[in-house]
Amino acid sequence: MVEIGLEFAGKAAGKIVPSSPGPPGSEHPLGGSIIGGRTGPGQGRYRVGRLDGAVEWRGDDRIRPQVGQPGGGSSRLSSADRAQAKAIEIGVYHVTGVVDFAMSDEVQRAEHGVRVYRRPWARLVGGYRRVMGGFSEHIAHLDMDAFFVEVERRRRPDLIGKAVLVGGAGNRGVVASASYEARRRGVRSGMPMIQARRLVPHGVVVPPDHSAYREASDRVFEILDGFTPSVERVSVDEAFIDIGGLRLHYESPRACGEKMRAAIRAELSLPSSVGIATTRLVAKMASRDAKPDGILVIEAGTELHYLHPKHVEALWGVGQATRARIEELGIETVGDILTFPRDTLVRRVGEAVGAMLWSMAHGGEAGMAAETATTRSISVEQTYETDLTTEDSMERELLAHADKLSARLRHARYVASTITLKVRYPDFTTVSRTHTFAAPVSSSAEIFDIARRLLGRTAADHRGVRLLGIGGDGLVGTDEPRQLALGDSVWEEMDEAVEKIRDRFGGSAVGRARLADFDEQNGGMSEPV
Amino acid sequence: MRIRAERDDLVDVLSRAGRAVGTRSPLPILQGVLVEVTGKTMRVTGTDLEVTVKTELEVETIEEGQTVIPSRLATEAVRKLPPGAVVLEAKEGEIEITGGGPRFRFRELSVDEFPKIEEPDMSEAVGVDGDAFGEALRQVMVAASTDDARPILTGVFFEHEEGKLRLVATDSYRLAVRDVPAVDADLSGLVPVRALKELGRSVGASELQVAVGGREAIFSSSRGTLTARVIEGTFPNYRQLIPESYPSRLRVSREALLAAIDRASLVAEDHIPIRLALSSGGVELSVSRQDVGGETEHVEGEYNGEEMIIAFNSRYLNDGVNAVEEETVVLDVLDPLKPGVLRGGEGEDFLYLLMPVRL
Repeated sequence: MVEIGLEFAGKAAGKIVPSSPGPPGSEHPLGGSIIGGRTGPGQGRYRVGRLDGAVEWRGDDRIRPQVGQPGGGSSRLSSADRAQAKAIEIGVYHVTGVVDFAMSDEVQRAEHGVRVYRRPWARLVGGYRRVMGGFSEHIAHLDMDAFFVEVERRRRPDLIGKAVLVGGAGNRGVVASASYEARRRGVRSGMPMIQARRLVPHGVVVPPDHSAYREASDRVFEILDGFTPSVERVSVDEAFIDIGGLRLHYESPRACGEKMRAAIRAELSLPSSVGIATTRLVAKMASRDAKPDGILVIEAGTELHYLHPKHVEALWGVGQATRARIEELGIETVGDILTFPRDTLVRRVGEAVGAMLWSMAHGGEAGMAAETATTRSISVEQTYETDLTTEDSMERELLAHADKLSARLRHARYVASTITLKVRYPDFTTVSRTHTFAAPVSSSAEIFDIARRLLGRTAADHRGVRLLGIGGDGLVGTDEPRQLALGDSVWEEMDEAVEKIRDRFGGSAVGRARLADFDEQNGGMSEPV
Repeated sequence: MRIRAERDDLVDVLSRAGRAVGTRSPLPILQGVLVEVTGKTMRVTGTDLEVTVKTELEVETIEEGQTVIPSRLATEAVRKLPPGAVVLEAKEGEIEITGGGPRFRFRELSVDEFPKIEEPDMSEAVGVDGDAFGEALRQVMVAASTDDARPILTGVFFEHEEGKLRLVATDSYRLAVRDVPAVDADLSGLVPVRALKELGRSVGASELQVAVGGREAIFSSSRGTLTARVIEGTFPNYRQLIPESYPSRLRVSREALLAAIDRASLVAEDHIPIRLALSSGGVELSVSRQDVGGETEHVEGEYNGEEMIIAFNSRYLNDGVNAVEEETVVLDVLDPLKPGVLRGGEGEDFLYLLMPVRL
């Protein structure tokens, strides 16, 4: 990893790039030379440190201590400061969300050029792109091809070339992933296994091994992290990568995307596809078109040309209900949307969806920004092979869910203000019950405790349960101020200890006593969340 | 049933019994209060099955009997009559309320449907000073939870500790403990705050009989009787949460601190804490809120210990300081992630422990 020293003016600690380090051409205090000065109000371009890269930023060039803090040496910055810090890019590394350099480990990582906060990045992209110039197709969407199937094929070469269906084999089983051989015959993920087997009678059904997929997924993301820290994990097999920062290292976005695919194939023997474009919406559509095992770059300026012949269904967020409404208007392709004024569209299909469609058809990504800019909830749910009918079995499931949710929250560095329990009865009616805490929680004990109480407010005890889920909303970053609770630390320390063990020895290394010998009996299918 | 009474007396007994009546009860009968007239006594009973209030009034009885009248409507009707004598009568399924001219008629509710309320068992009751007891309750009640998802935390825990009554409440973010040395009696149980909040206004008086036992808590005075079903379950082991020693202590004027908290609270919100910077000259309070602004001020005091910055939720802090009923308040702290403890400069009877906000 490239070493770089970086700090901001106005901070108390140590070696800092002064806000105006000097005129162009002069030596920077840290080593490199300054290649430019201010390029406008709150913008500049410097080359600093031992890294042969460039620093660019937008916004005010000082980080102000927060109002009312003694000495200003606080670890908390205002949103404007954070945004500005995020917009600084150093060579291949985006230093973002930078904090008090002297105190936290985030800072240390920042000093080594590793980006810290990922999520809010998306919100900055617009402003950032304008400064960047060149490499304008800077959003890559990487999607693993038939991910579960390909992971299975690595250890079972006999599956290669065959129609493979990963998913529960029982009556309730659903296809989690299908090989391209099966997809060609009409199999789709999410399809009931019974239906899929009718389409591919000779297909091989493989029960899912989620811990193997999780592990492979982690490896994929390690590889991507090696390219750039600006990786946003969308799901187990899918990511958005901001490759703008890599432009000094690759001659084109395509070369960069190819390199990522090649690295994943070389190290993991797994195929992937990449779509690259100026926006996330188009990048995601492009990766779908690139499949299998391909790459597609939609050049800047040609997005609408690419989008307009597409069927509207391809747009993000267009489900069956919306489709029915827009088909009434005679809209089939994205281009057709353009024939309607925005007002008409909004009137006919509703404010939210109408505006989103119109925006997307005009090359915007209103719908996506909302979906992906911030994580709004994290949840865990499962459909069971056979309905749960006893209180004990439901509680055990809730305990397992609470454990998982707690771990996910912790990994994502959130605590949840609201916990929602979702219950689907055997007749498919679905209800949810919600509880909002006075102070956000993340410990599995608290999540379980409330989930169990919420379950008591449903008819689960006499109707039985087909699906159980627990979700956390009202997410607050763990770096935000947080009200501590009495006796809190005991549970938190335990959760943390458990997680360390799991990180080191794998997910099944340690578990709840109440759940022992349970996973094997449980033939349920995880639904991706 | 037919009685005559002064309007204001009637409003008083009806409204106090009505305090136990839930506003949104699932059972229509619970929207009513039971009125029983025997001899010269009219007894009024209101209940939501958890909390029951009985009141009594001496009336001019024209005809004995019993009825159930709609609580809110009947009380308001009597209240709106002109001052003077009011006649309340139940006959043929109707309640009639008359006085000074106006006449209200309401549908009578069924006496048979009204829940049977057992006579409270006062054999174990002890006499307490009602005012001091009410004050002690108020000090701890602020720390109780209002979150029905955790019923255990919505009560005040009564226990008999070293020859005195101890009252404890916590919502898991703060904990209030109040000893009542004047009361040495075996009162033990978890009494719903909802009942205790109604105590003062329903039957509170300067002399109060109290019994807290296995199933119910009973509070009785010359004004009537309040009975509450105790909350089942085990109260958290609060003793282990109270630190044994405090290396750092702040002494400061309660009034000055309250005023400062009040100003800081203008800017603070639930998730924006007040920071206390503790140093030998006292404490500096500061609040700052992104995109809004902030407030800072220094409150003089005496601080012995390591300089530190500790942050608290403004409401929790205010509740605690407010509950300390002395001129000087003491804040003991260990470190910014451990609970702080508020108490009076002199008294040993009250402490309020609150968890900080981690910055």
